[in-house]
Amino acid sequence: MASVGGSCERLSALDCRVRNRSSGIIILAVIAGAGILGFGAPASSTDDAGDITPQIEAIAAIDADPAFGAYLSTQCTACHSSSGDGRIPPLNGMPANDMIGALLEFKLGLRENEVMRSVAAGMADEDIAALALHFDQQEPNDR
Amino acid sequence: MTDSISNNAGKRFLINRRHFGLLAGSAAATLALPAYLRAQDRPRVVVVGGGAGGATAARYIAKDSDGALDVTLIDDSDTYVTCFFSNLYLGGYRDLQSITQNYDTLVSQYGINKITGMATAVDRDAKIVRMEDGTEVPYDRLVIAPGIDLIWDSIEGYSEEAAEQAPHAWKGGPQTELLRQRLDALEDGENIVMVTPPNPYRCPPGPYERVSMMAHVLKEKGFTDSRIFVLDPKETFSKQGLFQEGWESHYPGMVEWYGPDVIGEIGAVDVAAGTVETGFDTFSGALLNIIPAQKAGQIAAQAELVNETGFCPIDATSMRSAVDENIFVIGDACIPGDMPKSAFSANSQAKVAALNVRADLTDSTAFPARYANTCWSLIETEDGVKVGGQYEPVDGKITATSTFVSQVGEDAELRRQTYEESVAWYDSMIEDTFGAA
Repeated sequence: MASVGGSCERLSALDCRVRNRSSGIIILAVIAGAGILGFGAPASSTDDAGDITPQIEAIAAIDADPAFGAYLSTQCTACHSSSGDGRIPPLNGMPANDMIGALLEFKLGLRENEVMRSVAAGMADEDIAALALHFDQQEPNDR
Repeated sequence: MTDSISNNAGKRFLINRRHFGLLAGSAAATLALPAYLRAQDRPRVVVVGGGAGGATAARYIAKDSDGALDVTLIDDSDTYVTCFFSNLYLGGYRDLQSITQNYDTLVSQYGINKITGMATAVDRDAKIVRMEDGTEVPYDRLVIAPGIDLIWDSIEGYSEEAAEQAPHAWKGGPQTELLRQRLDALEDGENIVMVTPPNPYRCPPGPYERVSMMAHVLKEKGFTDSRIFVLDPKETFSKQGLFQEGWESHYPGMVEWYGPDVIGEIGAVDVAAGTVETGFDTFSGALLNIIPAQKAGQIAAQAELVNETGFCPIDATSMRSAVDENIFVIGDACIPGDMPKSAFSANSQAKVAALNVRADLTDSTAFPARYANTCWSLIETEDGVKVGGQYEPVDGKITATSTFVSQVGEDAELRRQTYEESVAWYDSMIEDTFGAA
């Protein structure tokens, strides 16, 4: 069970590190990379400044409540359909670490989309872990 | 608030004990019972109103209770023309069929009983919904989602009959079609006069997206001499900078918006003459689009669930009515704190209500309430904007915890992506509300 406070401190430190880099080029490269790789791309493929693998692993280690994840997911499905044939991607069956990485990147401002940044802004590690577990367990096209 | 929470918790415990014998047999055993017995023994949930809020609530309660609850959805129509995206129908981006939904999947896949008829009254003591034809529909928990009613006399000279000449088109259906017909019939040089509603009302950016869509139609026809006069009782409006930027760039000289600092009070409407009086001047148009002030749907007032605002106060942690613990009020009829009255909000509130209905009647958990909303608007082809936020109960009120809004001066590619996002959202919203056909 990961400590919430510990994870948050690490996130804050990362956030500071990314934002304080003297070269804006690195930050732009990370954002561009996230855009090209798309919603489901593992965040760990970004460069050192954006390497959030330790944070992803810490959240993935949380013993999440599937029922809580199922409840939280109901606020996702207003926009994310089971088929996802459009600009908003489907979430069913997405590997947990991909979703954790994506939500962390939105939360840290490393990934573009104002809706998702707003969604992720208030998410606790337990929320992210529960959501990731829920969608990981869904069959694609389940509804 | 603490009292009400502890009361609810205590009540939940009692209800769980009462139904424990039935529910302990598991959903599978319950489903094995003959239908007539199930209907008698299962706790009964009735949902009044089959729009974005009510249909979502019915679907989630039925889906997530696995047959343990008997769910009835009452709406006076067997189809539902969505108010969301009806402006895109007006602008010619959508046909009517693409925004017309039905309840077939809710009945066939989720086992929901659909009653097509008008619910006219609630007997809260007897826990019965009365139908117009005299039928009584008993409930253990009731979800009220009647949407809005128009306050006809909020504008002098306007009425239900006058709306046949000067459509409000603020409820999806025949009025939407009438406004489109009247718009399509305009000749170059003929003007439109729109009267927008005072707060609070359904879909805050809606009137201004509608202005954009009407301007789009006039521009597509090559009209140069027609004007759209927007008469507003509000000093400011939703996404104002974004809309005004878009009107200037896409429809220069066509849209004239007037707030109360210029026109004063909006006076009498004469639909036969095509005029709207104001404190400043009388505006004339071949097409009047009059959107009156609004209140909760009639059944909410009949059931005495409304307060002096005309809308229904709720417990922000559950969407439970502040005046009746057996009733939940969701969507446009409720007082939603910081949330706007929108289909997205109604859908979000429905899920919180569904969670709490199930926790009342089964052994499921009521997690802390979370709410979300996004309102997309289309200004011109592929020029989409959005506003929205995340919400949680704070000190008894649904309170914004983070918000966002599109910015003026955004590049065309971002605006195109925002529009495409709205198109994808519509399909998801329909699937989430009515089930995937």
